[in-house]
Amino acid sequence: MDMNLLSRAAIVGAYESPRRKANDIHPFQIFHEVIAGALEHAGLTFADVDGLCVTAGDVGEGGSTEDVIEVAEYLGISPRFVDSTDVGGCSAIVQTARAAAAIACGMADTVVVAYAACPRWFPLGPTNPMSWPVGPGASEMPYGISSITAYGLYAARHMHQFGTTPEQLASVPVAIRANAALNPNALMRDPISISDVLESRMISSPFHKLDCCVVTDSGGAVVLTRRDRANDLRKKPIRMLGYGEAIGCIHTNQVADFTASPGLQSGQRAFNAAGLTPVDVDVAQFYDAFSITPLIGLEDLGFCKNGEGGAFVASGAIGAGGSIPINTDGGGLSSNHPGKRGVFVLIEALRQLWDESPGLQVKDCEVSLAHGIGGFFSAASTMLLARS
Amino acid sequence: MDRPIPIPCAHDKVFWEAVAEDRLVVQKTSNGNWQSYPRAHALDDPMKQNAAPAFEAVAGTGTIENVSVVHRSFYPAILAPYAFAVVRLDEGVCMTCHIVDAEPSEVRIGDRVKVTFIEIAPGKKIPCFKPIEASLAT
Repeated sequence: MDMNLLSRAAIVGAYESPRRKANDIHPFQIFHEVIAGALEHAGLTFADVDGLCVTAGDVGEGGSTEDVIEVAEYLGISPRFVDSTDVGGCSAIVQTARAAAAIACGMADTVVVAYAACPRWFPLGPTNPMSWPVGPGASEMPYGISSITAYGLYAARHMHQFGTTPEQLASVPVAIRANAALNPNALMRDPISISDVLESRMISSPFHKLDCCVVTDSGGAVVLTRRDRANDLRKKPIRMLGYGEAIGCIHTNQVADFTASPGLQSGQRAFNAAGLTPVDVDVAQFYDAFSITPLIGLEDLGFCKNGEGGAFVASGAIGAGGSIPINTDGGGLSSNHPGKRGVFVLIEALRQLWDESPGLQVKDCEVSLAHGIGGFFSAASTMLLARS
Repeated sequence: MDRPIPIPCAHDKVFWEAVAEDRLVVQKTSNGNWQSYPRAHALDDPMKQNAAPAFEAVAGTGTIENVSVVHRSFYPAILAPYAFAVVRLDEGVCMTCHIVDAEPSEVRIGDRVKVTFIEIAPGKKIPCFKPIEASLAT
């Protein structure tokens, strides 16, 4: 994306709901709570909002088709700019770039990007499938695909091709749980060991239960405004230094390479736009639905070479004091994962720059990275951030 | 739903009719490229300047590109454990499938397999793959 577009907007507030189990609470109530929280954080009110970006059309998110209208209606606002781009888990990061572009083009002055879902209790379900057994999905749906199995295929191929071990994979949830232990809002806070992961129940090989994310009811929001209006607000404005996105495939029979993802392209685009390289990044938040997801993310973005992610994550590089601490709030593996946790990836990347991480705060953080994944490694978005 | 049942439509009807008769067909474009899953257009001819892709019989043999053994099924009619796999046909295209007639935990990436057809509902079959015995493989 043109740097001029990004530089005309700034992120000025963010809020993650402390909720993890919200029995009987409608997701729209959480949408309202997190938008109000992010506006309060920024020193703004609903009266300032003229742009709204949400996905709420998946089961558990409370909406139906034309979901952004339903959420706006519930909130009681009539934004002049809306976006409901849905590319799965990383949608909120993608929408944040859309929001920045909209602000730069004069389509809005202040935009809220929000996400909420209550998959633990929502009375309709199960979750929407990735496709239907008619047309393209007829090639896959009859065989009982799930996200666990789809990501499991990526892990299985990585192990086959590069000799990545179950112990190396397990070091990802172990490192991230250590960060969650510091976060009072994390769902799971008790430290775990490699053997705890390997001894937990096998769900879809090579994934044990503890290779998989938690399931929570929660939400989060970020607020963007015009760069020229950002300086007199409550928080130091955050600049978007670079952004990139890419899509791949939804069906496993269309995947050209099970050891890489669209993150390869989104990462290159973001780093090129910012004029930075991985060594410039102080702290990184990777989408972590499963243990393999950050591992391939680290490879895709160039923190280590393709195939070397196993040794890299097991080396201590991703933990406190390592060369690139990741998922400092406990991530989706331990803290918060209602379904599309990209908004939390972005929020924690922002909190690091505001010195407000609820988990492992990295000292003197200047460049912070948010890397989201959607679908089954089907979409990726990468954003590089810094204080103004 | 107990399990998703494939529903044919105009562009993949020939594929599913063949499956019902225990035959595997794959589309070949007028440029000679194989493509799967079926589409109403050729991926190498999106403006439809040449003849539409035609379904052709294939050997039905391939190699396991990737496999995950599912221990927790989300569908009552798909019993765990099962080997969920992506098989690369010898023609080069990939198909999602189950590996059947095999102990799921013994199925490996790189194993040679051959197509077989499994009835999942009255009159409804889906293509799956089974190991080619080492003694029979050439």
